[in-house]
Amino acid sequence: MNEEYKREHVFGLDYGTSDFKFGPITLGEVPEVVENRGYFVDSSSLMSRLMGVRKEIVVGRDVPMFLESREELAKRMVYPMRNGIIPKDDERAWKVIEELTKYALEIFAPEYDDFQGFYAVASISVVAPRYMYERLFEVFKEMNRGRVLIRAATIIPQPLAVAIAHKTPTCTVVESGHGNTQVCPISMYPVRDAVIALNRGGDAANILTAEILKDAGYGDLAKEESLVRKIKEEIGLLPRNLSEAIQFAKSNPDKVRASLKIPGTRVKIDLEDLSWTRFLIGEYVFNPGHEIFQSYFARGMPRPGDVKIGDTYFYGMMDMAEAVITSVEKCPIELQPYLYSKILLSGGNFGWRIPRGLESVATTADLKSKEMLVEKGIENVEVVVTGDPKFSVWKGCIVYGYAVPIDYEWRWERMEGWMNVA
Amino acid sequence: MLRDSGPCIRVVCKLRSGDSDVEALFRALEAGEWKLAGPKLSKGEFEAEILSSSLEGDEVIFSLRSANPEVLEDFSRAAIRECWYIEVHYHLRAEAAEKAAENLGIKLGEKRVFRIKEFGVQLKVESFPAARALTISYRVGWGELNRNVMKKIHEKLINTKSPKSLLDRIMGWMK
Repeated sequence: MNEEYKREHVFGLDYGTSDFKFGPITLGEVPEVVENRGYFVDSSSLMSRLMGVRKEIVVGRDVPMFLESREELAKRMVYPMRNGIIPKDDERAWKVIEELTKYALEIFAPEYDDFQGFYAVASISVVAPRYMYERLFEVFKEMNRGRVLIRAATIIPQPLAVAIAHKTPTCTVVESGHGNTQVCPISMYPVRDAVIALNRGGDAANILTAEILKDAGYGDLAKEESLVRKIKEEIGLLPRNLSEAIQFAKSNPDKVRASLKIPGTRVKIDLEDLSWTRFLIGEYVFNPGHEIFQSYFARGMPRPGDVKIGDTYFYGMMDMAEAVITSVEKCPIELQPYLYSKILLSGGNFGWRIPRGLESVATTADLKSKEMLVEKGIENVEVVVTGDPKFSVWKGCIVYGYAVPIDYEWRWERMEGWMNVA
Repeated sequence: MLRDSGPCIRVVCKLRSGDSDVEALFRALEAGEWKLAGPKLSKGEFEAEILSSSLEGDEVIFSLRSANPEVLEDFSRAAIRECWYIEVHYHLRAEAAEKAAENLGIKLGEKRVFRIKEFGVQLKVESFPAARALTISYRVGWGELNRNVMKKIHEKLINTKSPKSLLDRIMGWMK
C-alpha cells in the first residue's frame, strides 16, 4: 500500500448529532448527507414477511419507506448520537452506527480489483469518552467481513476537524449541531480540560418554533419534527438586539411578515401579526436566558436543562458568549488573547441569514457572537462563520486523512495516527 | 438534501522530488501574479484555496471555484514550473454530472470506473449513481499545457464553449 493510493482513497465520516455526513475525497467540497438515525423494522410481523423485508434495521434514504405509526416510531427509531455520546451498553445505538457506516462505504466503494479499502477518518464529539473510540474501531473492523472496505482508520474530535479545515492551529471552535454545542479552545491540539458543552443546538430552536406555530394556529404541524425544522430554517431570524427588533417588527409588520408554502403540499403558513416572533428563534439559540422566554417556559415549553452524561456536564441555559468566555478562561492567560482573536463558528446552527430590508435589525451568527463578547468586555475579538458550516467537519476529515502518512500508526496516548483494521 | 450542482475543480501539484518544495511552488504562483494571502490565492476577481498539502511536502491540493477554463489554464501554467506533473480533478454533482457523462458518452447509472481518451489525454472517470456524482481526473505536463488540452477538456465537460449563432457561422465562413 503506498501513499498515492491512500491519498486517492481518503473517506470522511462526520457523525453529527442529527446528520451523518460522509464521502470520499473524490466528492470535492460537498459530502453526502443522511439523518443520523436507524429504524428497527418489526421483522416478526406478518406484513414484513409477506413483503419480503429481510432487514432488521433500515438507515439512510430508505427510512421513510418503512415508517409505521407514531407510537411505533418512538419505539423503533433510534438516534444514536443525540447528545454526541453513545452509552457503552446501548447496543441498538451501536447497531445503527454500524449500519450507517456500512451504508456510507458501500455507496462509494469501487468495484475494481485493486481497491483495497478506504482510509477512513471519522469525527465525533470532543466530549466522547475513550470507549467510543475503541468501539468505533471495532465497528470499522466489522466492515471488512465480506470484502475489505476500510484499510485503516483514524478518529478526530469535531472541533479539531474544523480547525484543520481552516488551517488554524490556535483558535476557539464553537461547533453547534442539532443536539448540542461544543466550545473547544485549540492550541495545536484540543484543550480538553477547557471544553464547555451546551445541552442545546438546533433542536432547541425547533422546540421554540413549534411553540410559535401552535400560538399561530398550526398546532397540528408542530408535531412534525422535520417540517418544524424546515420552517425554522425558512422563517427564523437572528436579531441584533431583540427588543429593538421586536419594536421594528411591530411598527413595520409588512416588512417582517412571514408566509411560507411547503412545496409539494397544500400547506401554507402565515404568522400574520405574530411575525415578530421570528426574531425569538435566533435569540433563543444564543441567549435562552432572555426574560421574554419565561412565558414559554411557564406554558410548559421544556427549558434546556443541565445534564451530566458520562463525565461531562452539558449546560442548558448558559448564553453563547458566556460559554466561550468560560471555556477560554480555563486556558493559560498568555494564550487567551489568541483564542479570542480567532473564533470559528461551525455547524448548521450558525447558518443565519439577513433578508433584504431587515439589515438594520437582523444579523448573522458571527456578528451576534462578536457583539455579545464585546458587551461582556472582551476586546480584539474576531469571529468567523466557516464556509459551508454544515460540512466543515467532513472537510477537515478529508484534509487530515490526506496529510497524515500511512506509516504514522495510531497512538492511544496522543489519539492520532492510522489504526490498521484490515 | 443539499446539493452543489456547480463544478468543483481541484488542482493537485506533484512537486519534483528533491529539487522543489512547497515554498518554491508558491513563489512560482506569485511570479504568475497569483497573490498569496493565508490559505487563499487570488488573481483579479478569481480565487483559489490551498486545501491541503502532504506532510512530506511532495504534493499540494488547490481548490478552484471558478468554472473559467482560462483561469484554470493560467493557474496551471504558473504552477507547472515547479511541478513534475499536475492532476486536475472535477467533482460534479446532479445535473452537472449528468451533463458531463452525456458529453463523454457514458451513463451515470452504473457505479464503475471508465478510462476515456480525450485530446490525447487519458481521463479517469468514476461514477457514483447513488450520490448522482461524477469524478473526472487527468494528468498534464508542459506538453499538454502547450496544446491547450485543459481548456478543451474543460469545455467538453462543462460545455462552456459559447455556441455560435447561425449568423456568426455564416459571417465567419464569408470572411
